[in-house]
Amino acid sequence: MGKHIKLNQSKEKADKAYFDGLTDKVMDRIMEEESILFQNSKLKELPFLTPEGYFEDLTNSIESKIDKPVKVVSIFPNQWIKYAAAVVLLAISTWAVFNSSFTKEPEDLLANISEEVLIDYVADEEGIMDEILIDEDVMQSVMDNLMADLAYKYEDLIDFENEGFYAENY
Amino acid sequence: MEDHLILKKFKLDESRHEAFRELVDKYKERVYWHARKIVVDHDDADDVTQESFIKIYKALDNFREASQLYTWIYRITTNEALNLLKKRQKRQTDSIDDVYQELEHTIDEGHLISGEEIQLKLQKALLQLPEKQRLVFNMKYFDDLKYDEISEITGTSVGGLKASYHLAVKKIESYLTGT
Repeated sequence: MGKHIKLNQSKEKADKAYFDGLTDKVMDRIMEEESILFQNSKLKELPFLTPEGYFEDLTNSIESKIDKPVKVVSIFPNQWIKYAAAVVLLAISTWAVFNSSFTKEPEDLLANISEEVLIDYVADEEGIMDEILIDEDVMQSVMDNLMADLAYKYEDLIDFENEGFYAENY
Repeated sequence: MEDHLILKKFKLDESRHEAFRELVDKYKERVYWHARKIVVDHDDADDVTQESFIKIYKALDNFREASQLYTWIYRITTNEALNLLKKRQKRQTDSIDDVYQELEHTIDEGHLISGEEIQLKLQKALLQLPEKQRLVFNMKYFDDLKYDEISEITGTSVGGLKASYHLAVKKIESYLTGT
């Protein structure tokens, strides 16, 4: 009996996924039939060129940069300086947040934001709420994305292993 | 070579370099073209591509394989390309609109750009879009990525992406047809 219910539930899930996807497919087909973007196949081609042999040389060029050792100079020779810097940063951020949030009314803040940005924001928030149903896979995925973002935001400055800064940036 | 095999080889010291070479060979064109669509100029796209792969190399040990490797690579490349435009904006103390005007000029005058008028017009239309709509349009229209893949790359909900894509299509159509 229990197994029968489970089978029914998974069938319902599969049906729902199919029908949810079907709406998108129909909407996309309608858009494709009506839009100039899909009637002119030339538009899908990019008007960009690359120098001759560019992709053949690219792998070697990237490899040569990876093999180059990076000289690291720590700007935090003592551990206590690092913690002091963190406390100062925290104090400045807290001060900045309090000053920016409480000097203006929410209506004033919203008045300067376009409707499109607000729609995007609400859509994002809905997405975040969906993702709050956390499971192991979601957490791992969040960690992957976090690493991807950290890679671009901080790797120019911070060497994680040595907790120092690249000398070439100074 | 399958992604999971590349990652497995990368974890071993003796095959780390070989695995990374495989990864670069497999993804270099996709990374380059994704970057080129964002930054327009070839030299900038080259910088973004190389920097992205260097960052991928440094961060790959921490990749947990919960996302697909190529969506993770796309995410790093997207961040790197947008970061390049933002750095340029800061350096020139221009607004981001000025940076996009410069990109429009590159489409008109830049080297390694050659195409039919309608293709160039589409690229200019894309520069009129807000950043998110432009990204979604590029990934859906040119790269044929699915909404859930784009969602993984941009960290935006599928519903939000669909709305952005449809808005982008409408705006581009009216730009192209002059309505």
